[in-house]
Amino acid sequence: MSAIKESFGFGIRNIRKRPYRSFCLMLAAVIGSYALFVGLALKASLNNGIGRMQERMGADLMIVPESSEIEARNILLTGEPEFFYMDVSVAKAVADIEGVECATSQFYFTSLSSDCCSTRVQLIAFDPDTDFVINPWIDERVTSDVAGGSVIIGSEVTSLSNGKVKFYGSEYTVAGKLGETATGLDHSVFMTRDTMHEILNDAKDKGYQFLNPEDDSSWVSTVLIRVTGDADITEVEKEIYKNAEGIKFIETDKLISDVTVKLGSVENIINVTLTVLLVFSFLTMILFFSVIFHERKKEFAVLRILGTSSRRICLFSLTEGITIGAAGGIAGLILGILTVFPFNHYIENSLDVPYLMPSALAVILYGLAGVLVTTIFGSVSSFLSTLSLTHAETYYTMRAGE
Amino acid sequence: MAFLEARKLVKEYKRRGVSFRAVDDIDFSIDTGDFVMIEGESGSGKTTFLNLLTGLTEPTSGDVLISGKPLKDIGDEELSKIRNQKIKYIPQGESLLSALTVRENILFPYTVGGLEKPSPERLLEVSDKLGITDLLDEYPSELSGGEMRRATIARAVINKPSLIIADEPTGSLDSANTSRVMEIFKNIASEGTAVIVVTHQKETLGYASKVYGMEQGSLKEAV
Repeated sequence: MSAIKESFGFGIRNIRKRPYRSFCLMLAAVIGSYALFVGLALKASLNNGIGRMQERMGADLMIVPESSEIEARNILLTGEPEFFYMDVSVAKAVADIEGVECATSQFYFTSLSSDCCSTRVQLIAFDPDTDFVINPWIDERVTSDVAGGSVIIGSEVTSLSNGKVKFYGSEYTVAGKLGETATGLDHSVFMTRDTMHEILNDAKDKGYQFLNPEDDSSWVSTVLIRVTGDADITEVEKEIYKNAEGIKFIETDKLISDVTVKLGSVENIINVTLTVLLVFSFLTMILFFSVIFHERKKEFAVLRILGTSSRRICLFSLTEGITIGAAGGIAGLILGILTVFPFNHYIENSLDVPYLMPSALAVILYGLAGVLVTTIFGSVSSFLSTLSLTHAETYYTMRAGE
Repeated sequence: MAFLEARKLVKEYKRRGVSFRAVDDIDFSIDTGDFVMIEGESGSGKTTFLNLLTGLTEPTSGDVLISGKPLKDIGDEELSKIRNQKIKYIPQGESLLSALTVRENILFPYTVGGLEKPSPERLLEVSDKLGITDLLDEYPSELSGGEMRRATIARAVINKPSLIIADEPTGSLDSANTSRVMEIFKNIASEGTAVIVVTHQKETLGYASKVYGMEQGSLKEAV
């Protein structure tokens, strides 16, 4: 124990006495730890996002107007507020089709980022009687009823200080909040069609007209369908086509697989970058340690002359490697935390795929992994660099170091 | 049985593919209290001989024995312990550890050897004799060549080892400090420590109880 304590003390003295060299070595460890932490956190967030999206999609099929497929995808994936409409007859046409287990319609419109509204979000009117998409994911129910002018907000929507949200000049009580879905639904506000009607009237009064409020019951934006277990989705689509025109189907499985493909390429980029940075970090540490220890040959020879065993010299250099690896690892972790958390939303928007930060425990584990890996890098590279010096005859090491 | 003995010691090197003997068939022994000085021209093999005696390099043939035990039979841990506690080697040039102060350098062998550190009085006694008391808290980079040399000597003599081997210890010292160091070696030898000093300074030979001359790898006792 005393040998370790003394070795640690000597190692620290050497690190402090050579601040520039120590800083350069630490920088290599910072890069390794930073890359590992950020890389693992990003990968976990992406996998979490796609997993949660898959889990919470609810519907197998989404019917939208023929020209609005991109807008509908935007609503689901990025939360970009959009609005589009088709005749309500589509919803009626779906009801009796064989293979349709349940169906519900939704109506999309938007709020504004001006004084009249809390924020610009996607507003979605749904039918509580037929809904199978929204209700199962209410994470925090504030009041029991969504009817009567109350709304449900997505996890990323913030309410006013009085617990309400404001749209086109009127405030609405928040009845509940959805859990995170890693989809555009996190940025949406849900309500009944009665509340929608009120908001559309307010919007019209302020000069914003989506549809004539008097006529809004004639329109829907989408019809969400869950098919029965044994149904063939393509057959269901064909049947619906027979009864409705000007529509487009978005299959959620296909949507998810499109996202998964995109996610795969993002993940590949992360994997390659992570590997390159880790290899760079390790090789740089080996190179730096061997150059530095080569320059310190005379010091190692003096240690031998003073009666320091090869084993103890390895311990000295190991403590330097461990200290530099761990300190650089912690610095890299702090830098990683300062990148991943404050820029969470920026990363999410840039990647344009479902993104959901992992749990605090997982984040801690990734941080520990980063510090552990750079500590191992430091100890292995310092140990390897010392081996050749301790195996050479001290007399030659001394002469080579002069 | 002598404390340190060399038997038919040979060390060969190759230069441009041709072998030559830096140490050529030397028999030598030293016992407690002996103060031996070795003089010789540069390149005569003095430093190689000292490195063979301390086990810092291996002989081509022959043996070095410490208390009758061949060095080649002693493992690294035990040999390190012997160097740490019994044989103090003062190599040519500067050999202080740059990350440590003079005080820490002098006490460093105790740090790695696990022995009880000498009393502050003993540290002051040695540093006073070598004129480095005011420098104890300085780093080597702040010292002159002569001051570093004296600090190195202080590190070697402080625990009164069984043997001190010094390779030109007074090379960078003025005559006053040279006398000071030689007196210290003489005193420590009179207290039972064996001392081997390699020197170019013929005026210091008078301190030794025995003087050897070294020429082309051979060691001969001076008459």
